[in-house]
Amino acid sequence: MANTSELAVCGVNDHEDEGNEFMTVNKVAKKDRHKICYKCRDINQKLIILFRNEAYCKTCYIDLIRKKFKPNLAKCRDASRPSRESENVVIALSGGTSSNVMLELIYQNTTNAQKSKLFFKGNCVYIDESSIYPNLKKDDIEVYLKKQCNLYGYPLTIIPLENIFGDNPENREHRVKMLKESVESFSSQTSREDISIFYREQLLRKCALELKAKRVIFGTSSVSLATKVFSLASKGRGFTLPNEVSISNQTEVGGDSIIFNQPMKEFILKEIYIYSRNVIGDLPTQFSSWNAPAKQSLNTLCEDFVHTLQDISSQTVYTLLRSADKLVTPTLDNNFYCSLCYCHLSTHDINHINSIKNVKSTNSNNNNNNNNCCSDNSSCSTTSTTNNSCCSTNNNNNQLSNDTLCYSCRILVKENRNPNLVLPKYIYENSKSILTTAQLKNEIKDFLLDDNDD
Amino acid sequence: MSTATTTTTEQQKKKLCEICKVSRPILKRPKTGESICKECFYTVFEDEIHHTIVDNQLFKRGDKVAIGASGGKDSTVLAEIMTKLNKKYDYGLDLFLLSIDEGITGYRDDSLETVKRNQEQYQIPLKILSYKELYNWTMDEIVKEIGLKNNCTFCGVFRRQALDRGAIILGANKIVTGHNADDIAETVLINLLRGDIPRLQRCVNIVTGSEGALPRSKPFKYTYQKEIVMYAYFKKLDYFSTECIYAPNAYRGHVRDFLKDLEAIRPSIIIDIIHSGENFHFNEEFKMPVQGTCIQCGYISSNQLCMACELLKNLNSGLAKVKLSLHNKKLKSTNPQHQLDENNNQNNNNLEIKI
Repeated sequence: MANTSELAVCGVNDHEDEGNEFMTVNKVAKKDRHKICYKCRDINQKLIILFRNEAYCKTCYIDLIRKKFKPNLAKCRDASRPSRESENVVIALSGGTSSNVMLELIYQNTTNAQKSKLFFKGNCVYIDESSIYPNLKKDDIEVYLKKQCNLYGYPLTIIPLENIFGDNPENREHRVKMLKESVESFSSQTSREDISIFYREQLLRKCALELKAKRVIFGTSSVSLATKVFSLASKGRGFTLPNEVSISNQTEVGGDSIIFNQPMKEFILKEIYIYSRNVIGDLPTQFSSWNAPAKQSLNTLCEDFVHTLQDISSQTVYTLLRSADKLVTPTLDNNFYCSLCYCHLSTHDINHINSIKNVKSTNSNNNNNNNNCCSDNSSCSTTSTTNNSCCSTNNNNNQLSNDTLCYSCRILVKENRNPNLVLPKYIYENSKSILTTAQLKNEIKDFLLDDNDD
Repeated sequence: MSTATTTTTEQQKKKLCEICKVSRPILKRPKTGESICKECFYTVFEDEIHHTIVDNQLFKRGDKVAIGASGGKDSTVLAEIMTKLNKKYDYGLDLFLLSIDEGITGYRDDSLETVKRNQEQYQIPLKILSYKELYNWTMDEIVKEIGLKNNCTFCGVFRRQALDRGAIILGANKIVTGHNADDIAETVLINLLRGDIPRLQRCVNIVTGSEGALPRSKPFKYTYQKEIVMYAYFKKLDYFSTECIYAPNAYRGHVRDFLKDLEAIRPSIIIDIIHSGENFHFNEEFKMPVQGTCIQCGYISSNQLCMACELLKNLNSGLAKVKLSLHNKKLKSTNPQHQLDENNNQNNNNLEIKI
């Protein structure tokens, strides 16, 4: 009965994993072997969890989780670097439990580690999406993240999502308006969610480059990744699915290589929640940023479905991730990636781009920005003279060729209902760059030697 | 009041079929969302299947093709379409109807009557092969022996082999089945859930079993189930619509419901999932089962004894139920996912061996 208070702390969460059920008083009474910690065998320690059918005390559980995290974090290091040289990384925080636990685990395995320390120079980045998701408790999250980052000694950068259209502080309201227009142009909730994820990832990529970091570390849990397996497969992203759910996903754009790491891949939500309650304490109340009914969004529907199956069988998440591990995304040509989501293009898509003889004749979404960006706000003419302009005044640059999009992004763009769709400048630049590369390659293809040529 | 009525009539007049721009549309295509008329629907439906057949080179002139016919909507529409396209585009195929009688009283006997009527209508030879002749067991007897649980495993395995045997008896060199896009998308998701990589590789192939005696193809690979129903409905085709009495929930599993919910949000989802399945690349380090032949019956198998011979051996020795429960216990101890797999297995068996 001594551990009743501890048990109360570990209340049942929404989406618990039946395989690692919490210890209850009755179960302790029934099973003698669960009376003492499986690891330390100290009868004075309070038991907090049945982990793989063995009881653990708080200290041993925390130690177990930290040790479990360490090899995954080690995979997020550049193997060619000397082991004691610190690597600059971006730690992407969302304000949720999973990313906060990851932050604490990184701290424990780097700065606070007594032995076998891993050397990382962490830079925390929080993308503030409150301009499109007003239900996010932005202030609470920011205060909390600042407190946590101060505690662990990591610098925190907060980037508003509207910065995808430039970062001039003078025209913030205009950028917010553009962001809202851009997201709301899409008819379905799924597309709106997806485009905001792409913007978020692009801001993280850009921030990593500015901070001279080659990696962005995400706190995505196994359940979220399993959900991603389902949602990616449903959206026709089978080709890039293995990359997107792997621990390490490298994208190379214009010679800049950024790796997205997901070291929390092997942690189920229950492990994360218990660790969080026992080590971190209370977190700001989280609301789903998407806030869409399940019947409106593919992402939410897939999430609900995976949770339902996980309730039926505790191995669902594990099996889904194991399935994804047996798949690979072949790297065909780094010059060809999706202008919108940066995923590798498939052989069919690359062949199609290579077959285009005249770049100007490609199927494109013309974006005449005369009416959307520059007509109503004089600040834009100011920004357009700088590199941070929200849109280009040269309309020839504002063409997004559907040929430079992956299968799934072509469907996403089809759901646009705004004839004057506003997209960030980098998308048009990517599109133009891909087509130009393809055209140049076409011109010199007869003189290029293949590895298979004698 | 009169102005409102006039406006409505004008609007109705303005609303024309998005393809021919002449007739009034009477349906919204589930695949594209286009509002089209009945004649245009027939044309696009048939043309799409014709293109699938031609683009994938499913047949050669002179092929003897056995159409797996269960009397259900998919196989009835398949029989109608194959007959029609064979005449229209002069494929030069010899078509046969092949039905398997599993021996399920109150279900298969009724559906076979539908197949017999179809035979008269399309004037194609029909062969009915029963489990009783092949295995000396009917499904009614099997269910009596092993109970309702796991009976789909027996039926699925036996039917798959029975189809091949029937086609050989008919002298056919190809089999076509009525698997539609919904079935294939569902199989992709189920195989992901089960971690069944060999099946995940195979399930999106339009032709399977090429390594065995008879290749079987799926001309409806890109055809939505709803469009098949629409075609059957408008053409007033004679089909049998009752589900198997021993597997009433086989089509109503979690994945199928989930797929319907997905489709309600994004109609292209079925094709998107198939596209995903077609673009999966498999890790070469993963070992695939090596296909051989059964030492007893010579049927394709990755073990010494094929599954059908193994199950038949257990049935004849009276140990089928015991062996199944031992097998299930073993699976549960090694993989708790098995409980879910059992549900999925019913779906998968129906998909793999659909006739």
